[in-house]
Amino acid sequence: MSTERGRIRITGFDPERVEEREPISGWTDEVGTTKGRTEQAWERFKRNRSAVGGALVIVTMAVLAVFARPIEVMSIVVQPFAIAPYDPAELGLLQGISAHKGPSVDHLFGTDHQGRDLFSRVIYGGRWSLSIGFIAVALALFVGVPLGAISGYYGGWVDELIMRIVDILYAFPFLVLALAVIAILGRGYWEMVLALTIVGWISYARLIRGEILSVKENEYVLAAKALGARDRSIILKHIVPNAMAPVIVQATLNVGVVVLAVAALGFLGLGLGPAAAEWGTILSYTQETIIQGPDGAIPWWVTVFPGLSIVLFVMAINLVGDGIRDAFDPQGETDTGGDRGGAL
Amino acid sequence: MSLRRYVIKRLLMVIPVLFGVSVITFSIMQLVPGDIVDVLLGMDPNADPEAAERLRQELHLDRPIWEQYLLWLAGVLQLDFGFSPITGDVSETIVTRLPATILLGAMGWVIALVLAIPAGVYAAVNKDELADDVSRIAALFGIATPNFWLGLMLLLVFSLWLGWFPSIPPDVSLLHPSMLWYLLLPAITLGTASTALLMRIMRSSMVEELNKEYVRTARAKGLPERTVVLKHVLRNSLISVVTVAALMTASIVDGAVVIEVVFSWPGLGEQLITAIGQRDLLVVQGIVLLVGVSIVIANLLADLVYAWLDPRIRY
Repeated sequence: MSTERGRIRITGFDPERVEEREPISGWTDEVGTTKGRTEQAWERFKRNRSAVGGALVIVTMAVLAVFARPIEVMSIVVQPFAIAPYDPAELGLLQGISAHKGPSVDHLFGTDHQGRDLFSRVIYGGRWSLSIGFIAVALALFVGVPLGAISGYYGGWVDELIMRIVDILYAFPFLVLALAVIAILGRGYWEMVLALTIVGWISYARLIRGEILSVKENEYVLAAKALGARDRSIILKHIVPNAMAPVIVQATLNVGVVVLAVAALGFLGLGLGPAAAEWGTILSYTQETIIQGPDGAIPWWVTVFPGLSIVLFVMAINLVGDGIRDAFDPQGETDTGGDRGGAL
Repeated sequence: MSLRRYVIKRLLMVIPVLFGVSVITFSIMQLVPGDIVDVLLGMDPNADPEAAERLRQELHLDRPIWEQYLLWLAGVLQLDFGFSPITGDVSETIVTRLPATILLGAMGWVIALVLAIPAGVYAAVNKDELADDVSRIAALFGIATPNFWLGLMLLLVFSLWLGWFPSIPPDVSLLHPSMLWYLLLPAITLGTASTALLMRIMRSSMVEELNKEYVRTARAKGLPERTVVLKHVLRNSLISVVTVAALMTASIVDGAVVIEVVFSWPGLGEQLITAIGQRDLLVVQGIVLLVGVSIVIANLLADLVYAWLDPRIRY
């Protein structure tokens, strides 16, 4: 008796006797009775209340940012809704709205030094921080994961080369390196995305290389090699999926790091233009108010609300990141730790 | 591997990294779009052509690029970072600004350690109890709060509202008591930013040690819990904290850059931001190089101290 499974031919056994054997465990080979790892992780994530809460906060902020003002692409209105009660760029001073007006029913978060409605600016400002956060992390993954995977799988001089580059870039603190790139390119949206990508990819490269070094020792990799699978398909189908969990966790947490960096760059006046409603850029004007000293009441709302929205978002993304880590790794075996940049 | 061989090997590993750091820093000037001399002279069409020619000579722009690099490196090794048309001698600028940053960084570092180690120990000893939860939530806030915003809030409350601190540094020497008083707010801002991470690492390192056999032995001997924690466990778990504390240098530098701007502190970070705004690239280059080299040295020291503290560690 013989049977063929893939390229393996198994001979010399009696299928009848195998079928009759008492099952050792409850395992059956029926399709659909066991859940995939991702599915199990999702089940666990759903039960984690703080992580789901964090996810809700992120979705809410994203929705508010997208629907704050209508979006036009090439003069076609793609998104007609406007949640923001005022145009975030409209100078209220020209409309008779006074500058530095405290929070009221008309202006929930008050107005800034030019009489602009702060509530509209804060929810609209989410567009900059959130989009740069997600785009920069996605691009950094796109660069870092392949390079780290190649480095870990092949070893040798390729590994040496890539890891030395990573070491060298790690010699610069996160923000200082981003500042150096901006010193070269000048400021702007895509300049900032590029700077944060150049700074960001190294952490994924180092992380996935380490994971792959341990994953590739597994028997199933040896089995795949023995069956003659190509390097590319071994890396893509067997190694990377098993090494990705810590990378996904790190990437989620890094969205928070990038958002903090965007705010810091905006605050330093090296992010977007001064008219942009980005959170850090809004805050850079409040510093002047503080240094000049108050004329009359202290306009605390100009400082408090944009900052709180950053804290809220970064905290939410950290809860989600921790939730994903617990979901993939309920025993807490792996510790991706806080990578750098956590103290921005 | 003996400690001596490890030290030599680790020192040799620094050389390629330092070389790479110098190449990256050098390339800042090369990668700027447009003619570097025009950029350095502020894109001024009325700029003195003689000044432009002098700058061209100083930067050796007529030589091939590798010669430019070697000449630049030779200058840097003699602490000559060039002469900026805007701020003058770059080394001099750095030397006048450096003490303020070191003072701020050192104070922030001390505050971080003083807060994080006791908090981490306390959270570990009371694992899964109220204190642990409080420390977890505090750490979450610490990680999510932008440094500069915390600084702004402290300025708002303590300078504007309560009036305890001036909102710009007094015009006195660095070690004058009123200057040190002013420094308190920026140092707290800088220190608390690193506290969150350090405290969590201290906690997990303590929790790991507390589960070890020797702790059970010590308890079984009837040693008071205080002695077990402070004499046995704390010493062992501090080893990993030493490394992290050294690695913290990078985040301290990042924090200092932003906090110096918030508090108008006359340090290197504020100079760096001003220089980027003015496209004063020679100053940017000098500061970035200094930061890179300092971090490499800090990481080297961390590894060496780690190896010295824990004889099991040899690579």
